[in-house]
Amino acid sequence: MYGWIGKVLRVNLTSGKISTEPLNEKLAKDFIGARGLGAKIFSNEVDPNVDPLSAENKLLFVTGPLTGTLATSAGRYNVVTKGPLTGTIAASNSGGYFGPELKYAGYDLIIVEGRAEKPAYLWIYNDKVEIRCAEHLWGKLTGETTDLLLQETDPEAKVACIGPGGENMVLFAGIVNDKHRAAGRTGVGAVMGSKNLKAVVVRGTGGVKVANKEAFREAVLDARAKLMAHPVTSGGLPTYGTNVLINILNQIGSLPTNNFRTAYFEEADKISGETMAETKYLRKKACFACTISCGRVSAVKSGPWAHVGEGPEYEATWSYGSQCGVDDVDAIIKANNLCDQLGIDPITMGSTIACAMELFEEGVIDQETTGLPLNFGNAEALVKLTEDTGYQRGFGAELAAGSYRLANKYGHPELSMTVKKQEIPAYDPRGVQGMGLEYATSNRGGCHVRGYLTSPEVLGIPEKLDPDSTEEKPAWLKTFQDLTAALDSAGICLFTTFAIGGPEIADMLSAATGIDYSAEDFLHCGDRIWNLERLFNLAAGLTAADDNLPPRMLEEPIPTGPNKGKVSKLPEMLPVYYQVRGWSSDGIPTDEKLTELGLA
Amino acid sequence: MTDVVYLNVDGEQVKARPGMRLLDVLREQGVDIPTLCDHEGLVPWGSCRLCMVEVTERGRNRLVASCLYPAERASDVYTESPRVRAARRFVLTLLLARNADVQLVQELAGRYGVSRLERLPAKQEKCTLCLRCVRACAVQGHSAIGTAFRGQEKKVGPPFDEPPADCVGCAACAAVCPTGAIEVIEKGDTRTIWGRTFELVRCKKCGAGFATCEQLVWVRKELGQEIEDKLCPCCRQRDEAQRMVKG
Amino acid sequence: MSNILLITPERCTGCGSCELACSFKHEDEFKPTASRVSVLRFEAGVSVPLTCLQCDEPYCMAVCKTGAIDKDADSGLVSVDGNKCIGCRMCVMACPFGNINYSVTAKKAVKCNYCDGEPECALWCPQQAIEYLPQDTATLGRKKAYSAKFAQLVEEVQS
Repeated sequence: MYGWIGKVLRVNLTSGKISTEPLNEKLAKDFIGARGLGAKIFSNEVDPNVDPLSAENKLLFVTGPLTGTLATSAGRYNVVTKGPLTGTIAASNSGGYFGPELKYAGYDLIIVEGRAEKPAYLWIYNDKVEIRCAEHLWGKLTGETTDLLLQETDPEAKVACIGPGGENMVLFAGIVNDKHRAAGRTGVGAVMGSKNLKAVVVRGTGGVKVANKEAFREAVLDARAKLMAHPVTSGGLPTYGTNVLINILNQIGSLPTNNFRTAYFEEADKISGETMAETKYLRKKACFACTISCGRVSAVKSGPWAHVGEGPEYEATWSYGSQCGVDDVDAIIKANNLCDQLGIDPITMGSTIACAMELFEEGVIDQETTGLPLNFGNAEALVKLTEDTGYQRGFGAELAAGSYRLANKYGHPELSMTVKKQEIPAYDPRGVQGMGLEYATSNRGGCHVRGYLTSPEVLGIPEKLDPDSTEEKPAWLKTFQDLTAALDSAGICLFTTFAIGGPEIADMLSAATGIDYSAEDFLHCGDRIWNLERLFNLAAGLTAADDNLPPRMLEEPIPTGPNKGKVSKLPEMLPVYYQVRGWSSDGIPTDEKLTELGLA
Repeated sequence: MTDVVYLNVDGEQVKARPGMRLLDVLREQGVDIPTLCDHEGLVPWGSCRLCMVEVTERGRNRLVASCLYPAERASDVYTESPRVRAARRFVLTLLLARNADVQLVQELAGRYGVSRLERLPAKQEKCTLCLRCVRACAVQGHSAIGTAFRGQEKKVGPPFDEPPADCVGCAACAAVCPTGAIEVIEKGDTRTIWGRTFELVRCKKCGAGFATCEQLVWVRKELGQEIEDKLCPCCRQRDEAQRMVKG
Repeated sequence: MSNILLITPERCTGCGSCELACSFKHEDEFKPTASRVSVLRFEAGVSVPLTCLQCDEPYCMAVCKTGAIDKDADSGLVSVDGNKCIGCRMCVMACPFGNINYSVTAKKAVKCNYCDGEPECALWCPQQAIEYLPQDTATLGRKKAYSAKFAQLVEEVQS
């Protein structure tokens, strides 16, 4: 095979059995790789009703056919499992260098099964695979874990590991690779922790071959030229990182603030990319083969939170910043760094603290419960509670289940800003209508990267859509969701789609694999993957009722800022979306649709 | 002396620089001449006799080993004539008997329609006696291996079949062997070749065994100065990069 | 006048495009371990791309007994002729910087030769951390500053 390696590694932690098997070429062609192929293999092998934290759940690390090649930003891999936070299928995507290394070691994917009796890690050196003892690493932060593993394996190896968050099964724990890149959402790190698997360490000295060398080179040169000419991928992101969005979203009045009480943050500029570029960023850092280089090495130079780390990304800056009413950029950077170190998702973490802050301000919980005055704007609380959550200490143990379970526990489910039990991110759906539909229909719960309509609605890419209108959003969303599902599966970064689309990616994919994918075929694969994920979720017990937004989005108009007075018009869009998807009015894919997609 | 000679190769006129090996002239023309013993980095040996071609020069016609034959004056060259093919077939018949299992020999035999002669006893030797190994060792001045015995018994190896004292463990002999006849065993931090086991020098940073001590001594002597002998090449590069950053 | 390859480590983001482009050109696959240029990555996002410096008096060439390594008088490029290489690895041991490699598959030394004048690494570097520039005064000035650090390294090795 070209593009793909053609080999699957299967590791059973219960029995210690390690085996390899050939990659099914038909599945690879239809589901591409990474997210799609992972979802297919996972749903073939695992009961949708499995308890996510049981030994019966499986954990897949899956690369795409473009992963490890020179294709634009082709360093991605996906972790596929059933997420403990959401109960949905989880495909958590990460960059860095781990995914390509897995391919160089000779595997398209790893299927981890069962549960190790004692803490263990997986050491993969090409075809040499060992399950090793990790008792000496248990309890350690991700940075130290990575350093120790590199020392005891190979200094050039790549490490994906969990921190205390995953070990303690914080429901939104992530898997951190290359120290600062994470498969962050839906709790994939807790699944790894439940399996007693501390880390996967990979060193590969092989390569990835493509089918048509010249065509591939041409296709990538073309795509690269577009990325390097586009203002977002050659200017905005490289200059300010993803935090370039803080001021943009605030200026249009869609920067959720104080647990979505409003959508305008007076102090936004203090936490903006522009400010951080001036005072906090040391240098750019790129993931594998990336021309954009949105990553930032950042430093807090003095004070109690002094450290050097990476990030924060926009969503983390938001969740700890305006969402908690905090404008102390040092605290935000420190709290975000703790998330990297503990291995937990900063979006859910920050937003869960915001929920707790609102519960506190509403008088539902008091200082006896929280251990500290938890008003909006309390910067120290971010750092303290993040750490306590990672270790399941004190009030942190309650936060560790996420805001949905927290708010329910205290009788105020409406104060949890979640969809399918996962926190919605940093674009207020009352001000950006399409994003509301995107959150509501996301297959892995509240998430911005399943169909990033912010691109047309806010940034005007590929064309400007009125953020308030609802009419054309369902059709646009379907296209974005399908495109994203397909490109996540190919192994390249979503950020490339600011500058390139289906045709360019299909060209790279075709030249790499030797299989002729037209732009339409590529989107069709995305449609197939989207429906497959939907089928899994329906089988896991989710229904159309779960395609919803927190009531605040639908009922409470934004009180301040440019979008004052607006609410989400989700009910107008959802039925149309189901139609566009070829689903019944109950949100169930029709037989006709499934036949068309080859999923029947 | 003229600076160009004209050859007629299989009916086509070809220019060559005087003194060039005929084999190189032919290869430049894209003519596929089979060889075992030839290696561009080693002195031509003419031992395998596979590169034979027919040359008519000043009215005289004969078979020559093109690897040893300099192009010096106008001549007619035939690279696949019946006589050439017969000569190669003869060589391959003998090789196929000696090296029955060697894939390269089997492929060449196939190409020339040679099959095994029952009356010749079949041997499973891997070595074709091309002596690339001996020359690769000699070119560096070690001469740790050579040939012993004659005729049927001729073989390559260290003197008296004992672990060779002059060997530096570089394994170039194995690298140039066309049939993979020389065994090199890398195990842990040792390299074993010709019955001699070398402890590899371990990188002081990463601990990887990266060279034999004898190799490093030889390099130091050749350069006439001290060398970086504590770090493996990878760690040297890392070191170098680190200095870039600090400097 | 020929161009020279100029490395500016401060610009490198560590993406490794150079390694991929190099191995793709020379080995027909994406395989960083077979690349003639290497990206060394350190803490806090510091990365340095390194490849052969095309030394004026190459150690690798000095120890090569088969004439496989040659420095072109005009271009200054130091190249390995794979047909002449016997795989003794002495050049690899001799290079003070680790900039010439031994290919286990080919059993030969491999090194950067600026892709014979069209270096792929420079073409694909998105940050201009690797550039292929005419040898004018400005470029030579930058190259000199860069080389000074290596001179220091050589001295330390020899002392």
